Amino acid sequence: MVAAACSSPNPAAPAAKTAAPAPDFRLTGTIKDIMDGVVDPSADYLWDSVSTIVTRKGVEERRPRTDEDWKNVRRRAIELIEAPNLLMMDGRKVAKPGEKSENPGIELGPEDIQQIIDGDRATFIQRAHALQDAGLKALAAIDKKDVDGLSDAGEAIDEACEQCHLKYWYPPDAEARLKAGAGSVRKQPSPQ
Amino acid sequence: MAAAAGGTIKGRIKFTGAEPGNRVIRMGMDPMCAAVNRGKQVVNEIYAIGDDNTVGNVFVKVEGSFPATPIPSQPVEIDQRACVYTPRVVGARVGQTLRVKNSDNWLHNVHTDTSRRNAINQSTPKAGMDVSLPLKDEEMLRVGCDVHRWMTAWVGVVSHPYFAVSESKGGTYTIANVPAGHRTITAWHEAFGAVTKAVDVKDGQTSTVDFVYTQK
Repeated sequence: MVAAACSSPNPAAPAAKTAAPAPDFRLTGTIKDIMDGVVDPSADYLWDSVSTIVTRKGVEERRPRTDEDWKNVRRRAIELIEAPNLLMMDGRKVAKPGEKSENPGIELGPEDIQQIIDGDRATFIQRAHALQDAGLKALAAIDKKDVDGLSDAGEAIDEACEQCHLKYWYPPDAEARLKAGAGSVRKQPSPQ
Repeated sequence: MAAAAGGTIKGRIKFTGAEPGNRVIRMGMDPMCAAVNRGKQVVNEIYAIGDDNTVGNVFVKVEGSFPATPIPSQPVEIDQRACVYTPRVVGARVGQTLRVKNSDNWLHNVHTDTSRRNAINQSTPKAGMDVSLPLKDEEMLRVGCDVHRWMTAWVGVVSHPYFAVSESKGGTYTIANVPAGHRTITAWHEAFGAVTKAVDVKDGQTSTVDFVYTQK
């Protein structure tokens, strides 16, 4: 390497970049673990951060009010935005070897889900990005301390979750919806 | 005159402490749900609290095994109406069918959260459609809709007929024709949890078992 640099025919040319070593990621958790440990709790936190509570005594509006409240909800938004990066990492498996579907015939098993992901990785990445986009909406609202914006972002997060679940977790129900003419969960017929 | 076979257990469910509230459902994520509920403040009624701190929608059952009795041929029904399940808590027998119908002319799906063999995940995209689930195992079965994540119903699936759901107004329940003996009775609420008490059931008599949840 040193000799090659010394004998360069064009001393003015920049030194050739050496390829960066592949990052030494140590994948431990499964997609199931990350969904359960990071995605679910952070989404729940965001959904619950803005709410109206009714008792016999009256109505209480719950929302982030103090700087600390906003800081906490921001932490959860960051978790939700970064979690898809973990999901997308090469080599991340859906579940541990031997894990089975909790509801066979209703929900796909880990091996089936893995097969769908591996067979069309581009779509998996696209779905993960859709979740990040929804999380980024939440983050933008949080940074503006925009309660309504945060609430609206919750709906986008919900949509991203459900679309991904229909694709990978229980696709037979997605097919049933299409056959019944319901199409996307958000493209619905007019009320009667 | 011989005493009637079996006795009756009745009681009332109450709570003490700070009153827990119900969250108002934000229906805006589905314009259809928002439109059908316009002008109403629909809450996710986890707590059916009445005057005098009574608690409705508590599933009460007698524990144990009993001689076989006929299983009702009629299904237990839950309706998907105006984007909520009605009723929220029901009881059903193992071997009975749970029927979830759709009165809304838009998409819902029926997705059970089960650790037993009571699984279903099926859409009902239009009014008049329904799904039927033969109930196979005892459990407190949660029914949800993946399209509207606030939608929740509970089915107490029991192998015998000795169960009841406390009334929304008044928090009372009655379980009739319970075989005589020393019995254990459990009250289950989705947020307060389960409480168990013992009761002696005597033929032709009524025993009273009240439950009090403490809200911290």
